[in-house]
Amino acid sequence: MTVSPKQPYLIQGRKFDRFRTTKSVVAGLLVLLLAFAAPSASAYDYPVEDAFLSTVIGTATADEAPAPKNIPTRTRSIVRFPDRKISKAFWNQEELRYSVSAQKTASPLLFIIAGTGANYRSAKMLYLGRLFYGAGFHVISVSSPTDPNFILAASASGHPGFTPEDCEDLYAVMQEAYTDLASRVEISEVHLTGYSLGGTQSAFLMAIDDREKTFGFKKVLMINPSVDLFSSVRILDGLFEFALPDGAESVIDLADRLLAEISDYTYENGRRSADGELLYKIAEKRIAAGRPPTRAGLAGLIAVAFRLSAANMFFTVDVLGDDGNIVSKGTVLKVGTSLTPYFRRSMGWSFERYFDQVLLPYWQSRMPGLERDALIERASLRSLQTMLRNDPRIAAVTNADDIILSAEDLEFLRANLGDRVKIYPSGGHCGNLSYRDNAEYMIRYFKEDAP
Amino acid sequence: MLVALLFWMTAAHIGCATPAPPIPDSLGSSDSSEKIPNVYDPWELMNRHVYRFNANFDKYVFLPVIRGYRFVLPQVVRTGISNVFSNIGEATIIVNSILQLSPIKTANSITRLMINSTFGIAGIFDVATLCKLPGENEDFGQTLGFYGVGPGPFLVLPILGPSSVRDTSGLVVDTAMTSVPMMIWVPSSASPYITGASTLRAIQARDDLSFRYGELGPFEYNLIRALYLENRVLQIDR
Repeated sequence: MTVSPKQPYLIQGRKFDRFRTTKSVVAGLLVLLLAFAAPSASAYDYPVEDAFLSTVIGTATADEAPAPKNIPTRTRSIVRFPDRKISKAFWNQEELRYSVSAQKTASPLLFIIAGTGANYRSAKMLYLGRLFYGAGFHVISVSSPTDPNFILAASASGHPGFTPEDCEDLYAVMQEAYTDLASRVEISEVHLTGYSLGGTQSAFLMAIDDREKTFGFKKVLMINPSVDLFSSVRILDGLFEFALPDGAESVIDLADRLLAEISDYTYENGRRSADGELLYKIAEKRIAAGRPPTRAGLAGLIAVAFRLSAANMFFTVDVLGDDGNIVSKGTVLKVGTSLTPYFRRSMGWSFERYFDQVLLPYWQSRMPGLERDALIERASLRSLQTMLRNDPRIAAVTNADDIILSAEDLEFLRANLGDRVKIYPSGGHCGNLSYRDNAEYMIRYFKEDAP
Repeated sequence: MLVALLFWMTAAHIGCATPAPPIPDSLGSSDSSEKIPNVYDPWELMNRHVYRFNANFDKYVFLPVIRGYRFVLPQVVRTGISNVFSNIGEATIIVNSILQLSPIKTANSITRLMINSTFGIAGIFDVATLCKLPGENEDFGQTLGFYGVGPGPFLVLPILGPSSVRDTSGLVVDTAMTSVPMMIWVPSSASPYITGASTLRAIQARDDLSFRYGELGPFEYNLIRALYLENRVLQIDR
């Protein structure tokens, strides 16, 4: 992907210089015409135009769709492999944790699957839980199969990253969670959603359910899904190379600068100013001061966040399988063992390297004759093309500027889902997920019969 | 995808008044690159055990207590309690601002103490922050840092969390500064109230912190350590 380090990040309303007068007059007339032609159609006003910026700062609390602040949520857990030996480097990981927010009366159930490396309590998961509980759903929030707790407690292979197999694990977990909830409350029907990788997995879970017939999902919604996981992670690996060319040193430098920024902001605004929209406010302030966040800085943050979740996954996989790629074979890690060298080593791995050195050999040993391209294809939404094209129960929401989608990926969604895919003009990767129009659209999707 | 790191770093900052968590140190590059500035943690073996003890203490003691606390007291009340304690803590900040020869910080903190103790009704409301006078954050560990004392070995304190030898010494001095006068002037019959207040303060401090152990993955200890140490450097430089 092409990225120019100098291009600034613009929040709508401050971008005065792009249009010349004549152009803006023409545009203004067009807007007026459209407004008269379709009085009910309102413009999409998500305020952040840059894809990297929206991916990093998300949505201001004031622009979010209202959702109850506190909902009754219980953390539940499942032991899938009681005999599995888990290294002492991890603790409290024998049980897979997930959360349930149950309505008091018979209601539809919504499963929500987290994105890459995220657990059931990530900020986006908590928001979606509050949103849909507020809209009358029982909600079960499940961690991503790439989250360390999921890998240790629920991954049958211990080698996540191959979506069809990861979804078999997810499906088994969902069945247990469902049985548990159904024994306590009445469930009228079952829906499914997930964001990012969790969105992709929702489609695979639907395919599994067509075979197993446990849930009979009434509706499935993919939120900012990756179409081809491997092309998406290559984009993110590329961002790392672009934004953090000196590896560890760049990462430390970036982290220090961000921390200094956060520290200054909270110093100037009082200790309670540090909340979920802190980054949003810092960006706003910087733009107002005429020094918007740099492209390299934003790309770096996205890349580091991804690299950190990937490192957590590589390390967990390596220790669980005693693979010997990161920790030498046979090493016994104890509570007090320093993990610093492994941290460094794991952070140095790109996802592509994990794919080629860990994932591919593992699945080739399980499925002799499996080619690299075939593995990639089977993990891609393209392998589900027939279902996506024909099954009216599945839909997607995404953004034209989602950084994990290529032009072909977007076209694939458009061509196969038709009017079942809603593509917003901006929002980056999941940046507008909680924006009022987006959230209200998602609720309407599940509550109404139209796609 | 943009998970733990950012949001959590954000959240970690809420706890500036208590031994605060913290950002990445040795986020490594390639396999062989070892030229990363290292944190000094000679007692890592012990620290990691204490860290785990703290995580369990949090899980089995602190968090259940916090759940009850939140059930009984609504957010406004808890904010008020938090404000009262930070208003009392203003005294420590004033002393350390004086020790660091900073007239501005001293004046700010004295003004805050006066405004919040009067208009803020004994500190229940943080009127000063509303008047664009947010709190300073000073302690004796920072005063030592101001005079050039390095952090020394990293230290994880039982229950209190990440610290360093310097900051732990500072904590002892700060605690003595407030508790010695109390021991002299407050009659011993009042000691149960003092204990009660200290317990409430600890619970409120935990309530103010949104941090949850175990959510940053297997390298959480490294992340917390780096974030703590870097954050202290920033605080001392201020």
